[in-house]
Amino acid sequence: MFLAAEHFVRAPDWEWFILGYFFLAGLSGGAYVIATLLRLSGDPRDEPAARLGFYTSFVLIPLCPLLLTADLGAGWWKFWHMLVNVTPGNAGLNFKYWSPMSVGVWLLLVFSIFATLSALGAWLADRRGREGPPLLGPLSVAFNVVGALA
Amino acid sequence: MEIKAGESYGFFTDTSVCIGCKACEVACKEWNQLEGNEPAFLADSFDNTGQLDAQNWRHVKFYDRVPDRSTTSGNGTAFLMMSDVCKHCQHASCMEVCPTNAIIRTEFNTVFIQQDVCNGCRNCVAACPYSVIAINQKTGTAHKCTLCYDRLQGGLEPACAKACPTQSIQFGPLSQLQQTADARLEALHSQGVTQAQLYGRDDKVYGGLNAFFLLMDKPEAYGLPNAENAVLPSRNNIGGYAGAVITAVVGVVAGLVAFRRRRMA
Repeated sequence: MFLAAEHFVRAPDWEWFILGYFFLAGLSGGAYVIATLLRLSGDPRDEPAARLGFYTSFVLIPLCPLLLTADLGAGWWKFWHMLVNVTPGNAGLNFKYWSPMSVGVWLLLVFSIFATLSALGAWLADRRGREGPPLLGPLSVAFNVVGALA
Repeated sequence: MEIKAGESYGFFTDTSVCIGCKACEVACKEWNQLEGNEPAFLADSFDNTGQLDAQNWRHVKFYDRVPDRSTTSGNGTAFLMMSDVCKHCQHASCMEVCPTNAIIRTEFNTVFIQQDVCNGCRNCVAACPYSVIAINQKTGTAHKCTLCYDRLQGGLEPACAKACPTQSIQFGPLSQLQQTADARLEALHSQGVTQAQLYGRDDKVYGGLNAFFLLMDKPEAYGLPNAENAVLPSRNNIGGYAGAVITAVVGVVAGLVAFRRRRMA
């Protein structure tokens, strides 16, 4: 008897860091989506909960790239090779829309920026004691998409 | 033979004349300074190498098909022996997924992993349909056959082809190898060896393989994906992304419904 040819013939041996990454990224993205939904559909009484969601998202998201970097076999200092092409004579940014890992790396970066800005906005609003910052309203629609994928 | 940049080079591995001596494995390790894995008794026919990995860039596979009782002569297929190697696919799965662009196509049209660019993410390890690539434990980077890139640059043929005593492994310009293979296949067929077939000679498997084979049975018998199964990793993208989007939509709708119901209450 012969084994049928299979596609996934060798496991990449990704370690628990990657599991942790998916979990935390899911939590962070989920918190962000729920916070956005609260702002979009809830009444003003939901605003504190929404801000809490943005804070949660902001606290969790930096852990994700740390975990991913820790799993790299060739050393953490090479993490930026994911973003920038270091092939001699072929400098530029690395983005392959057809490679999920490449897409994920960029999504993570973009989402981190959104999460940071939203948390900052929530913090400023908290300090000033404002009810709901309409400024972030339109932006938060775009967050939904990013958050869902992360 | 003069080796010129800009031309396609590859291997034609003719398994019908492989005698399983493993000279290719040794020559490869010598030239590429591979330490090899701890020797082990695998109890798997004459195979004590096991698999292609970071330390084994050539691996002679043994498929033991000796019948229990001697009935007819084996016709050269009682043992299937195949010196396996990176196929240097025209449409390479590893190259497709590599997020750092460490995997490139060289001036000899071979697939090469730049060790200084690779950061060890291991996406290519999972992507390769032939399980060629593995992580070198010392460097943490992905390793595989380079088709002796350094030797080609110096005008030398790869170490395994040089060492092969039966010319089972032939190196040369791809067009020339394809002619050789066609002639060999015709010769075998005319001798009544009808099961002989070429694998990766045309573009049906990953756009054609620079390292292609003459097999004595179906590709499946050697654990190789046939033309139908040879599809790139991006085959999973649409399904995967669709799943993510559906999940997201369901989640958002559920959230909206929950918030709304609470407001009603």
